[in-house]
Amino acid sequence: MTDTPPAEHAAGTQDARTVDPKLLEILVCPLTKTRLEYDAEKQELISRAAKLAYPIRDGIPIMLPEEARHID
Amino acid sequence: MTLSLSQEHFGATAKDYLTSKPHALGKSLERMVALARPQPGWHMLDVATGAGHVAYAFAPHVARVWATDITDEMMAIVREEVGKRGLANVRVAHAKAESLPFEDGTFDLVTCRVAPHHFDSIARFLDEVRRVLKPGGRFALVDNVVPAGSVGDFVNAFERFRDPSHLRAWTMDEWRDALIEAGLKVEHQETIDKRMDFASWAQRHDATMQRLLISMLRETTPAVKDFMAPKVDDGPITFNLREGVFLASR
Repeated sequence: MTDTPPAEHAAGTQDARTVDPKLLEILVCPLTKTRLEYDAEKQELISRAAKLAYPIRDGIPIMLPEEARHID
Repeated sequence: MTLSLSQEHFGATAKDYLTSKPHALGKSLERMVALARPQPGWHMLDVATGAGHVAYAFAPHVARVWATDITDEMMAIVREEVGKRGLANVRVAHAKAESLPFEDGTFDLVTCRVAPHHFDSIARFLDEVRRVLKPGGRFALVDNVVPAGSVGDFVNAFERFRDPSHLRAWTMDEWRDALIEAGLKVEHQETIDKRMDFASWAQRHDATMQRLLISMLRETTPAVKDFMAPKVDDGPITFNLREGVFLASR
């Protein structure tokens, strides 16, 4: 794969505390192993299948169901 | 949020693990790199990265490292360290070893060092390792191991008195069987004895618990003394623990 390190990738538009969305493509819901939607505004990764929103805190995805917010 | 025993232990002692000699410099870390033979294009995952020593050792050799752990304080340390060390290809996420948030067949290499004896279920962890590995991908594992029978029971009890989040270190045979059971092929296995310095190992405890632990070393049976080779009465207190090193492939 030709994967650019995120420091160059961000090109000054992101600070170190936000996540490069490309990097999130590899992540799935730890319970259902299904794809996640990235909510940039809320800094959450949403699993429709598990009805959970996993928080991203300081740019670190928290992929623990007990830390996730229940959604409808 | 209710913290698990591991989150409590490693949250309180996170900084110690960054500088802890057995964790930062252990011979098993070099052996992992030598056995896994990382390649520049590889994507790897280090499970239960702790203070991140495996991630730092492999990062210069591979394209991307994901490092996961369940402890906030550990993740914060890893983030800070990768910045300091200029390792732009390390990414961190909170995740449980038994429930990994990665797609099937994602990684060329999965690593895990001196952590599974804290896991709720090693069998579920190994199922997850196999799942996230690409076909032909490698798994490099190090964990504390014990002899079978009562000597092993003693070593586990001794470790658990120091750290309640230590559940049980396995024997080499248990590991081998579990790796095979999980559908992994064992390519190599070896053991490495490490000499432990009691003072730093037991530093989180005051004199009350330290005395209990020292008396365990002093009073134990010849079979345990053969294995742990404790030195209690003259100079710094030291003893042996053993690490098992495995390279397996999917």
